Parts: sequence; C-alpha cells; structure tokens
Amino acid sequence: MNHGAPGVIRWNDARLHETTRASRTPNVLWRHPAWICLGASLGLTTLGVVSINLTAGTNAVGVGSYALKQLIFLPVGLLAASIAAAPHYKWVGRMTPALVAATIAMLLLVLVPLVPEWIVKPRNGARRWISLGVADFQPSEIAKIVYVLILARYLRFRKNYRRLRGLAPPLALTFVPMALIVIEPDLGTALLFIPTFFAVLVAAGAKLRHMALLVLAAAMLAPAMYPVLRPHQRDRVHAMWNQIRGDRRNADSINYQGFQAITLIGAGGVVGQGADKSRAIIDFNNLPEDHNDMIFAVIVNRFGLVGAIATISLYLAWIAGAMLVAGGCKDPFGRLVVVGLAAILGTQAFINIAMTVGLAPITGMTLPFVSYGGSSLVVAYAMVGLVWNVAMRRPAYLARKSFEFGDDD
Amino acid sequence: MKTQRLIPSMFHRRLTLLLIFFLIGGAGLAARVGRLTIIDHEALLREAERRLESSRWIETTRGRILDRRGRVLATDRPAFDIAVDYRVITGEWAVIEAARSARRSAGDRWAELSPAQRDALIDAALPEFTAELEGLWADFAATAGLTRVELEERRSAIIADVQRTANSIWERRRLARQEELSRQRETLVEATLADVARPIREQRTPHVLLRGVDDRIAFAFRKLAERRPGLHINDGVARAHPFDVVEAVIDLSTFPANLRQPGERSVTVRGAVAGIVGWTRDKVFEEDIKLRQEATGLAPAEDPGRYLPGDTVGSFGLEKQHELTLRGERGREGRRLDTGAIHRVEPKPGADLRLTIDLDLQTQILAALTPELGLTVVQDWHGNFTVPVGETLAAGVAVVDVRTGEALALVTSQTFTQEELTTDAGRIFGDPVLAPAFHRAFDRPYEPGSIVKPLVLAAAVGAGAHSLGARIDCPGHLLPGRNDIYRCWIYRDRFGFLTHSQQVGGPLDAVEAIARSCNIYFYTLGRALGADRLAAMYRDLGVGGKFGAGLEAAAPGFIGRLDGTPMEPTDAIFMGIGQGPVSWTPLHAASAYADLARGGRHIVPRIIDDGSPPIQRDLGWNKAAINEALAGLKKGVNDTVGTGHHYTLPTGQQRIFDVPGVRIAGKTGTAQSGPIFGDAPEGSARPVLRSGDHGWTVVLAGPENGPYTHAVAVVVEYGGSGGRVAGPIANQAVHALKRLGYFDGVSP
Repeated sequence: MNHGAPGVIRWNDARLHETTRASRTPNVLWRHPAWICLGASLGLTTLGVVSINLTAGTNAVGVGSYALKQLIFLPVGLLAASIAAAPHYKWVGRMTPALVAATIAMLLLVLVPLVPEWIVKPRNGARRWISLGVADFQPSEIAKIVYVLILARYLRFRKNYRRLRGLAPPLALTFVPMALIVIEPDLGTALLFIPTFFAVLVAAGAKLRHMALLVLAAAMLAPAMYPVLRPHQRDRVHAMWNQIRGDRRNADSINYQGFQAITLIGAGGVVGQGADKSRAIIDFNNLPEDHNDMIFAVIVNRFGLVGAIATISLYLAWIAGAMLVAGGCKDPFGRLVVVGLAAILGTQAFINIAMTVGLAPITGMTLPFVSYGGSSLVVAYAMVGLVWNVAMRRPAYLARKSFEFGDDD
Repeated sequence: MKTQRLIPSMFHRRLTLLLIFFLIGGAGLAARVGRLTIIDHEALLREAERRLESSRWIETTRGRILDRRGRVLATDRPAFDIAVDYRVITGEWAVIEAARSARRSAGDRWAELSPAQRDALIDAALPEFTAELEGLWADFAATAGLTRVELEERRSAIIADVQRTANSIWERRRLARQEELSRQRETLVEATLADVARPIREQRTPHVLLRGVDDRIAFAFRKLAERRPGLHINDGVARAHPFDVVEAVIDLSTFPANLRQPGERSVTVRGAVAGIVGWTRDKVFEEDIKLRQEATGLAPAEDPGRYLPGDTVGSFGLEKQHELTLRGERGREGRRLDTGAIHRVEPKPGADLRLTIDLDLQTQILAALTPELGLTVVQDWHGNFTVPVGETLAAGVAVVDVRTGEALALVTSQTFTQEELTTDAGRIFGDPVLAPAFHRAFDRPYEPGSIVKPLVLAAAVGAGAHSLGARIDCPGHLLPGRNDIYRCWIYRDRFGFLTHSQQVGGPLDAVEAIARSCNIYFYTLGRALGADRLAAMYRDLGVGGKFGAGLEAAAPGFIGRLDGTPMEPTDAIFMGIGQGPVSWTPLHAASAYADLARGGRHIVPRIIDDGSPPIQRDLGWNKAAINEALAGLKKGVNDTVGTGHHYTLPTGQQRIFDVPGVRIAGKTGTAQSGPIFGDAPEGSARPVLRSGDHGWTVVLAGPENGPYTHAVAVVVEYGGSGGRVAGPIANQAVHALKRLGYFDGVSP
C-alpha cells in the first residue's frame, strides 16, 4: 500500500485511519451526559404520574385512569426515544428535507376545511389534531422537532448568519411553521419557535449584537401586534395583568383558571400538603386542566416549594445535560440539534410554569414529561432519544470543532 | 477577554450563556413560587380550604310579638308550602306530555313523520293532558279552600313575576352577548333576544302557590300529589297571629239608651292589633338588602342575617319598623368534604318584642266600635248634618297609662285580619272614606279642637301670659263690634245667642271656662300667648316630634302653616281653641292629658317595653293652673253645665260617663276638617264623599278616691259633636279599663 510522502496525510490515509480506529473502538458510547437528560426525564415523568394520580379525585380508588394511561404511555415514549436514537443523527439530518415536507403537509392538512372530521377533528374551534383511530396527535408537536432539525441542517456549514442580512433565511424557516400553527390556532406552541431560533443562533455563533437588535425590534413591534390578537387572547393578557396586580375581578370568569392555579400553589406552602388533604384540595377547587396544562399547580400543592424547586431543577438538569452533550459533540448538525431541543423543551417548561404561577397569559401548553397526554410524552421522549443519538455517537477523530469564531459579538 | 480565557471555545461560551439564561429564568420562577408559598400561603390556603367545606343554612325563627301580658300576637310556626312546577302553572306541561305521548304512540314511525303529521298526533293527545291540568286546578282550589278566581289570580301573578324576571335576565344576557360579539368582530353586532332566551331557573323550578298551610291541608295535598302532576309539599314557616280573630264579651247595658241591650254579648273582633303589629311578605326587595346593610354596616357576604330569596321580611307596622330586632340570624352547618367533620354555628332567633298594649283592652274597645252595636254609626240624635244616619263612622281610640306613659290600647275602628290583606285588599287599600289602612289612633293627625283648652290654660299661666285669678268676660265674640268672627260656640242662633257670661252671671274663671268650653276665654289666652309660645307648647307635648319605641312610623302631627309662611296673631287666637295650623293624633291627645294628670311632666309615649326607663321632661307648667284645669275637666263631665256631662236622646238626657266607682275628668271637642273627595273624570268636579267636623273626647280616669291613672282620647272622623259621638266611645273605653281591673290599684 502506497502511503505517499511522509508527513502528508492523504485522503485515503485518513479514511484508513478512521477504519482502523473504528475497528479498535466501538462507535457507540455508553458513558455520556445524555444519561442526565434521561434521568431527569424519568424523574419528571414519575412526578407527573404521582401528580396526575392526585387529580383523580377523593373518590378514586387505587391508581387513577389518567395516571394509569400515563404509565402506559411511558414505555411508548421510551420506545420513541429508542427509535429516535437508533439511526445515526447524520442520517436523520439527511432525511430532514423529507421530514419537513411531510410536516408541512400535515400542518396544511389540519387547516384544510374540506378534510373530513374523522381525519381532522376540530375542538373548541381549533384544528390541531389528526385522528389516528386509537389516538390523536398534533402535527405541531412533530413540527417542533423537525424545525430544530431543519434549522440545524441549514446553519451547520454556513457563516452568513453572522451578518444581519444572513439572519433572514433562518427567520423565514422559523416563520413558516409558526404561521401555520398560529392559524390552527395554537399561539402557545407557535411562540416556542422564537426562543429556539435565538438559542440555536446564539449557539451557532451569531453576533450577539444582532440578536439584541432582533430582540429590541421584537420588543418594539410587540405592542403593534396587540391589535392583531384575537379578543380572547387580549382578554387573557388583560386577565394576567389584573392577576399580577391582585385584582380579583376576573377570578370567577376569564381568569378563573389562573386564580385557581395560584390558590393551589400558595396552599401548598413550603413542604406541601399531605397526600389526602392535597387530593381533597385539588378535587374540590376544580382547577380546569389540573392533570394536564396546570399540573405544576398540583405538584406544588402536594410537594410545596420544595417540589417546585425540584421540578425546575430537573428541567435545568435536563438542559444542562443536553448542553454537555452539545459541548462534547464536534459535529455542527449534532451540536445545533441538541441545543435546539434543549431550548424548545426548556422554553416550553418555563412558559408552562410561568403561566401557572401567573407570570404569563394562559395558553394551551403542556409541561413536558409531566402533563398527562400521550403525544406530548412521546414527543418529549423522542427529543431525549435525539439527544442520546448525538451523545452516543463518537465524534469523528479529526473533525474540526464547529462554530468557533474569533469574536463573540 | 477574561471570559474567553476561562472558556477558550466560543461554542462552549455560548452554551454557558444559554445555560445561565435558563438558570436565571428558573430562579425567577422559583422566586415567584416562593412568594406564593411563603408570603401568600396563609391566605391562599384559607381560600383553597374554603372550597373543602360544604355548608347549608340553618333557618332561624323570627322573633315573637307579645302583648303586655305575654300573649303571642305574632309568631313563627312550622307549616307547609304548596308549590307547583312552573310548566304546570303555565300549562306548558300539557303540551310537553302530549308530545311525549304522541312520540310513544308513533314508536319508530316518529322519525319518518312530517312536522304536520307530528303536530296532528300531538293535538290529538293534548285534550287528555289539558283535562288532567284542569282536574289539578279544581282539586287544588277545593283542597286549599280557594275560589278558582283566587287561584287563577295567584297563577297569573307568578307567571307575570317570572316573565318580568326572565325579561330582565334575557335583556342583560342580550347586551352582554352583543358586547362580546361586537368585540370579537370589531364592529357593532346586534344580538336578539332569540339568541339568549334560554329558560331561566325560575322557569324550571316549582313556585309556591299556597303558603303556610297546616298539617291537615298539607296531608290532603300529599294525597293529591300522588295522582296529580307537578305538586310539591315543602317544609316552611308561617307567621301566625293567634289572636287575629277573637271573641270579646261586651256589656251592652252601658251603651247609650237607644243602643242599650240587657246583659253581655260576645262580639267577634277581627284584626285587633293588625294595624300595630303589621305584616310580612315573602319577597325580598333590593331596598330591604340596602336598608339592612346600612343598619348593620355589614356587607351581605359577612352578614349571617342577610336576606335570601323567599325570606320573610317585615312589610308594615312593627314587623317592618323592628325588622332588625325580629329577624334573627341564620345558623350554618359546615361539613368538611375531605374529613366529613361537621362544624355548626347555631342560628340566633330574632328577639321578641314585648308591647305595652293590652290585647284584652284593645279587643274590648274594638268590640264596642263594631258598627252593628251602633256607636260608630251615625244616629239621628247625633245631630250630624253632613253624614246621613246609618252611615258607618271611622274612629280611633288611644289609652295611655298616666304613671308610665305607655300606650295600653291603640284602637282603630276599621280593622282587617292578616288573611283579609289578600282576600279583601280592595276594601283595605281602596276605600277612600273608611280607609282601613290608616290607623286612627296614631296614623292620622286631626285638628285638636276644644280638647286642647286645659292645656292652653296650663301653658299660658306657666308662661306668665295669664294670671290664674283673672276672669274673662264672654260677650259671645272676641272683638268688640264684630260678632261675625271669633265667636263663642254657644253664641249662635240655635242657642238664642247666649253667652257664657250670661250663663254664669259675669266673667268666667278658668274652671268655668273649661267646663263650659268657652271659646272667648281661650281666644284671649291664645292671643296673649302668641303663636310661637303656643307652637312651643305643642312641641313640648310631642307634636311634630318623635314618639317612643314602637311608634317610629306614627304620624308626628303638624304645627305651622302649610304654605310655610310665619304664623300670625290670628293663628294664635285660633290655636287657643285647638283650631288653626296645628294637628295631632289621639295618641298625642291622651299623652297630653296624661301629662296634665302627672302635674306637667311629659313622658314620651311608647308601645314597646324594652326595659329602658321612659323618656320624660318637665313642661314648666304652673301647678295651680294644672289643678284649675283638672277641676275644670272634672266639672266638664260631672256637672250638668259641662260640655262632657250628657247628651240628649229622644228619650231625654243621658250622662256620657257612667262608670261606677271611677273618677272621671274630661273634655269634648270638635275639630274642623276638609272634605274627602272622590274620583271624577277630568274636567268635572270631584264629588264630596264625606264632610263635616271630627268629634273628640279626651278623659282622665282613675279610681274614685285616687289619682287619675289613665288617659283616654277618642276621635270620630266626621262624627260632628264630640260629646254625643266620641263621648260614649270614651265611656266604653273607661268601662273596659274598669272591667279589666285597671282601677283596682295594680296595673295588669
């Protein structure tokens, strides 16, 4: 075999080296920080099942039906995680355009009025769900992951986003799914895309001053967007403002849910109420969606401030675990996918908690891993699977570290 | 630069930045939860636990109203309310049942039938159910003891009431809907009633058609409910008035000769205290809620005595004036939904009102006023020139205890029972002449007339306007050379233009002036006192002021010109004989005479004995003048020259007061009055329904050898002569006092 001139590594030499290395060390690593994400996810799911069970009411015997279903969804979620982790993430990257096309098709499908109701069943005036017979799923949930994949794929080898003009294409990528989801309407999910966009761009090395400029522009545009909001959305903004000020005028009407959530949270105290008392308080206070969007209020009522800090810490641990995975990865696509997933999951968790504690208007948004709901849980575990996917792939030996630019701003 | 040195990789620095961002967010959320769970914990836990408690009200009982001897005049008693489903009341039930029946009979074919075919089937089934409803109403009326007309009126009233409520709610819903739609579509959108006219709660629930029935009737309705639709027999409370209809025994041998009958007679007396006790209603008005809130200073949510729909509310009389005292507070039974623990706050029953009124005295006096016995009917010997013989007269009687100032009886001749409030409302509230809704003893003021003369004497001497030894000549008229104005009552054609001076052979002293009721003597005193001092005298006697407990709604009387202009000397002259710009009630009159008997000490009259000492003050009257006045009063009824001594019947003279063993002093009077007009079409003159003078008699009575212990004042509207018409009634009141032992030295 001709190795050429000494000191010069030829293409086929590098390939040979890789092949040799691959034959001596396994491609799949088992010691990696994604364990933190999985541990945090399981911890949150456990907390979720316990809390969902508390919402079964004082007359429930044994494990409540929602909690039981959630337990059944857990293996499905783990299966989804395994499926997401199995193929190499680069292969997933290559499949991304096809996934984008399929997702946009599904997002369009739910919006087409002529689609029969056995396929798309409107609920409360919203068209978000595609019926699978045994269960319904929301294309917007898939869209969250696919958005991260396509954004990461777009940015992986580029540098143009370090110019202000270069931010336009990724912004366009963001507004397409957002617009389709806003029309459903599902403003809450749509809003997740913005922080994710910023997080991925920040991680990819976009200039911070450009980011700040965008935030400033958004802040200035926000009041102008107010008239575009639908009346019920405006009412919720008003209600939240009243709630923050302690004005109870809407406590029995539009802000009933918000006030009930705060009541349950405050009633929890520092260490929470006993199981029976908490179950009774939750049962008789009739908090709407207590097993679902408002599950954080149930957690705090049962486990108090300690439970709240534990929950927030588990999310921070999840995010930190994902950041460690991203930090350990050299591949630009892998890095951005993990950062994007961490951002979207963290943002969803934080917005959900913020609306439950009365710091954000109430929107229909689940608390990942914790809220009752099959598709939410499966998608969240699929994210875990993708983080695992990146974490357990050994980086290319000679790969150049990506997104290393000389200046931060 | 330092950061770059710490973390050489830019990507890692950015990851760190993101992580810090999330950490800050997490800390912010934890801080918010910390605030809620630490600072706001107590309040929010209370709020959350409030919902763990299921509670129900425990009904209280309204306080009783008792007479001075402890007899229960008004009380709550357990009873039953008979309610009927609203759809049955409206008749809609028959249509619904007919539709059900038609659907049943059509079976599976129903879905294939056209609307017209369905309607035909329903129409065919309808008569059966209409007949069922007709049977229900016939049975209902028979069981309840109502006429069909009365029952239909009650049904119509409920339908009208519910419809009013529904219209009000629907209009509110319509406006809210309109606002919501307009906001959503950002343009004005008109909402129609059809958008919001869903049945309200009252249109789906039973309504009470018959309240407060006893066990027997409730049992009959229970049997009826087994075969008739929509009937509900609910536990309830009824306000009972055990003495609303009573039998009183009266001695007719003490009546004027031509009305006299031998021995005693039992008379059915209806509603003897209804005008005092008042009545309640089962409908709460906004005004009730507002008044209670003002009185208690409590918001409805904090007030255990707050009104709930269907509560009993005082509507008139003491029931209304003392609503706060009588009402009581509900109790509450709370049950913890999680533990089952029960927490109970006992209800506070309403406080009793103990009256100073003696039911026996009240009923005996009222029995004497029964028109069938003749005292309140115009007799030919009354000499009434304005009201035809045989017409019923309205009278009021007040009896006051001299020692305590308490009213022992306040009687009005036109009474009604609690039941008659609904069955005979037309007479009670619609008769403009006899007007039973007005209580003549304290509710309507009249000019005092001559009964005020002894009081004017006491006041004039007390004020230094008249010397007790000074005699006054009665030439028949006050002003020399003017015999057409300020004349004495005796200086008339029919008395041969006599004067009192001619009768007594010179100027009159105070005793003669009072006994003979000389106008000239008191014109003179009135002129000497002046209008202001006379007004002060009336005010001192309580006119224009407030009575004591239980008489909050009594007429205060009036002093001064109606047009508000200052009184003039002419007014003072007339006020000296109880005419002119002044009016008072029999209660004022009896109280004023009691003041005289007390030696010039005024006690504010009351009818509720709440244990507090009476409010009293000295009037500053001259004691010698008081004695002279009392002597004049005594002579006035005991000497043949007195105006209160006798009346003349076709059979001869008869003494007005003939109660053996009782010391009597008194005065009669006649008060001018405006006529009562009836309604007339616009443009035509209103007919005079009744006109003439009101007749007064006021007496002080006591044991033969003791002080005067009781004051009795009687007014007979348009009765004319005080002595002939009011006198015999006052005599019967004194008889009743004696019969009941009031002159035996121990007040019952």
